[in-house]
Amino acid sequence: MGVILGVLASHWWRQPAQFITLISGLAVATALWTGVQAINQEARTSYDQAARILSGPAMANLTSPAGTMPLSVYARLRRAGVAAIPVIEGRLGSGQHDIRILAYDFLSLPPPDAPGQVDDDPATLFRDGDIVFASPETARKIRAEGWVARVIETPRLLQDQVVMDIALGEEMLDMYGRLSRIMIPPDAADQARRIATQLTLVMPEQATDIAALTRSFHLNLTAFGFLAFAVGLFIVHGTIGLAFEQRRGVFRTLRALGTSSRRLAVCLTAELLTLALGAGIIGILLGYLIAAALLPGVAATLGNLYGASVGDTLEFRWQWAASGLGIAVAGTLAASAGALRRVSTLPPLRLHNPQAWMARARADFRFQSVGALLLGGVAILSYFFGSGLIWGFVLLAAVLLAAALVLPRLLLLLVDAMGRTDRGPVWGWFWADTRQQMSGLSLALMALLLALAANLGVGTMVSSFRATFIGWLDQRLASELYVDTHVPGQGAEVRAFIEAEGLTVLPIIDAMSTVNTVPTQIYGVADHATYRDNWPILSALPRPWDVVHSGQGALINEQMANRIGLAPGDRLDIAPGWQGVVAGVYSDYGNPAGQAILGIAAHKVLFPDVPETRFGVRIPPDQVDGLRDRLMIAFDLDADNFTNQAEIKAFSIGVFDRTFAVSAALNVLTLGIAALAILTSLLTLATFRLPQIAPVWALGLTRRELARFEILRSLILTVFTFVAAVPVGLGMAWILLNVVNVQAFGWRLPMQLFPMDWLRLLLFAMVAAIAAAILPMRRLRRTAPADFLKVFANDR
Amino acid sequence: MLLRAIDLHKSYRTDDAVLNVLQGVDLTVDAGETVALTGESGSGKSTLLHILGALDTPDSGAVTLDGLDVTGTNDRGRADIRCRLTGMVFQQYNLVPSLNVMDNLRLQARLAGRDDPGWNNALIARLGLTGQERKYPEQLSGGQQQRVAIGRALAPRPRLLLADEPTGNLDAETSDAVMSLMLALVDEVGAAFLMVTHSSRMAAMLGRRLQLSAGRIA
Repeated sequence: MGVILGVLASHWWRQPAQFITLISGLAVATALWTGVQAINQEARTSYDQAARILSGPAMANLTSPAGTMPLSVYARLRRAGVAAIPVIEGRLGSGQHDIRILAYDFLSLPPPDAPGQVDDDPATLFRDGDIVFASPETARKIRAEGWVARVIETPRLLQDQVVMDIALGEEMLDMYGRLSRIMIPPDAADQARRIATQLTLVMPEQATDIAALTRSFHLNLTAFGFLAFAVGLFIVHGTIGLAFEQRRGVFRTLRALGTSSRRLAVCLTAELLTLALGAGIIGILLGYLIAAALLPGVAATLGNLYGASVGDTLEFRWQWAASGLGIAVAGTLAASAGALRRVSTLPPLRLHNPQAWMARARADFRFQSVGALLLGGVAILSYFFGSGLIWGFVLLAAVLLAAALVLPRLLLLLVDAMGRTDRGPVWGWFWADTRQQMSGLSLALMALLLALAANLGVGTMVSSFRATFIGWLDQRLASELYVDTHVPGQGAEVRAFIEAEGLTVLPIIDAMSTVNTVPTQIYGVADHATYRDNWPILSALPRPWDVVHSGQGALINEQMANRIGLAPGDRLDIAPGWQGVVAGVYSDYGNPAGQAILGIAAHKVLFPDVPETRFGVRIPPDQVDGLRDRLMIAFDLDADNFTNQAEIKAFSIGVFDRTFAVSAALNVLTLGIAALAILTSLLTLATFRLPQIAPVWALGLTRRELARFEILRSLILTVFTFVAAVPVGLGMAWILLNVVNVQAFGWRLPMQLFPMDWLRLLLFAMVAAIAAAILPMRRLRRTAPADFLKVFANDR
Repeated sequence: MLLRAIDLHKSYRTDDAVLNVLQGVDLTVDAGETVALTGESGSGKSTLLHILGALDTPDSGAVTLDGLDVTGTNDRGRADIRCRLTGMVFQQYNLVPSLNVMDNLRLQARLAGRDDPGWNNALIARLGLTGQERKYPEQLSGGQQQRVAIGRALAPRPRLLLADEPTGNLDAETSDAVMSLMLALVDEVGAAFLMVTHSSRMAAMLGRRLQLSAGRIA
């Protein structure tokens, strides 16, 4: 065994460039997969920590549609014997440096990682003044600012999150006499419901689980990581396949000298496992770096999209490292299975026979075509019979892989067709030579197809989404200025002031409720042309706004309609005492929660305690600043009380772009890997090219002309692959927009085409193809005539 | 008797015909005997040599080598026979390009577990490769590469040396030198020698000559 392993290893020692491409291909593929896994796991760990700390073990929550509730409700519950825990939540500070405060009664529920004696006597916590709990990093910030006496560090808390006793919390958040929610044991639910009739009871299993909410986002990331890994596998497959091909003679010699096929296969497997483990470890380290670079963006996205708090520093965890190593080994073995099978099954004398090897390769092409057909069947079945996000991804994967598998056959047909055009002997040789190289290049081209299709698909999806989103923002944010007085009593005065200037004021009131177990925000809006003319309604009964303002119906957002399965005309129970129909469904991008709109009169009947503090104001844009200044002076308001429509739009588009920044980064990385695949294939093929090129050189073509043909071949195959990738990419975009997005986010978006983006991608691919071909071309141009002559001298 | 072949048949199927290459070959080779196998191109010389050397299997018939059933054993058994009992010299040398001269020469002996540094060095000297031990095959001439291949085949001291046109790529002068060297080393090792050749001159240097014609030994 040792002798054979030594002989096999000697190949890599003498071919360091090939060794580096193999290791780098596998390492990069593993790195992207590992990076994505690391990000996902970091986020999940954050959710788990948050869930443990914020909710405690399986507690139900009483919440108020108005956002807060009086302390008296808590007192009533305690008097009735319910072991309720009052909670105040809020933020301190502004902008990105908010501190999230969670304050509750430490006497009822000891804080996380409190000193040991607290369990015996919680009062010891207050002996030396105020105390708060925070993560080590946040604790340092708090100490630096010096706003509290004692800070206890606990790694269980997220960054910028502080836990404190309710007495300190109500002081810091200025919430005297009011609570954000009340936690109660689930077995006291009925009792609580009877006592707090105006409040909404959310049982633990109904609570919106942030992990469930963000599952689709993480599944998207995982899908991208897998796609990158699949593209990387093509490199590994190609490099290993060609390394096997290069060593055909060595295999034959070893077999001729007395090595059994089994022993050779075992040694090759051991060699591959060693390579996979080595490359896997490098990949894990690279993956850590990628994840560390992408995590802040992902954390921002999750925060913006879902309100999920994810730490932006990455910890090394064995789970994703092991998954990276596992997939590197499994991927290598999968990529080399065909070559290993050939070594094991071909008789020793046929191992060196290129025709035998090619016959196997042709059989592989046939096998690939059958695989493509089967995958096509899977795609059809999953489209018509599958449901759920996983099936959406199965459909996507089946379409992409089927297209990749069928590509070599398609390209062969094209090359054959070009070869039949009579353009002289040189072009005849060029097409014949291209055909011969197809088996060596097919894997790299398949990788390129996947990368291009993914780029086109995701690019089309994101651009369609962006265009729709901006149009939707224009419709949705029709008022030029939004005012929020924050103080209930002041709302009516401000409204009167604005109306006195002859402007239209549109009150915005909202309350939380639970509709068919879905936590839903219920808005009340005025009857005004602003809504009738602009609201982005997707489907509706005739004259939907008349139905809404007559109190007989409500508009609901698309997410809610999809989640509950509602359509215009269906019955809807929004809150006790109101029954109506779904008057229409509107688009509500970027909002993961359910939302409904009632007429303002109906809303006020249902939720009488909700104060009017927010308004939209219809005003010519050039008068916005003036009105704002007058309101600030008249009511002692500050900038926080106003939101300019233009600012919201800019902010929303910024959030959107940040949300898809991670996708864009992974897209570019995947395309980079595909370019690497072409480079490795061309470099490895170049070592075989001499016997094929030498006769043509001898017949009168110069090295410069031959080098030009090499570049041209790379370009032509890239363009052919791009043309094949366009329909695949558009198909992918269609699936993303009409299947995956609907399942993941609840939004269906119209697909738009962006030909300029395609052109940019084509140019990028051509540049990558030229870059990949330059090194082999330079080698060819510098090949000494003596090396060409050796081909004939050796009579290979 | 070291080697015995009985009624060997082998045919190849092409797209439109079946080519019967061997049609009942019988032959024997005694220990230490040198035999030339000649015949026209396509007469099946190499096919017969590959079957006798446990590299290929016949459609029917039997081969025994040193009392072992070559044709009745499995892939592992045939590999063991190749490793321990035979040495093979090909026309194309078939050296491992990533191993240097000494490592190539030791390769089969190491696989057979018979690596003998003293014998290896002696072979290097006898083959005129002193000073070339660290070179790689691509740095050697054709004649030198063939001498490395001969050394590799004889390093494990096989019972039977098989050679397929070993001088086919060499000029006449080099061919004679390689041939003389091979015969001397075979004699020194005490191996039998069976060589496929086109050349009557080379065939005449061996003890016995067999002519393969129409798929049989004439």
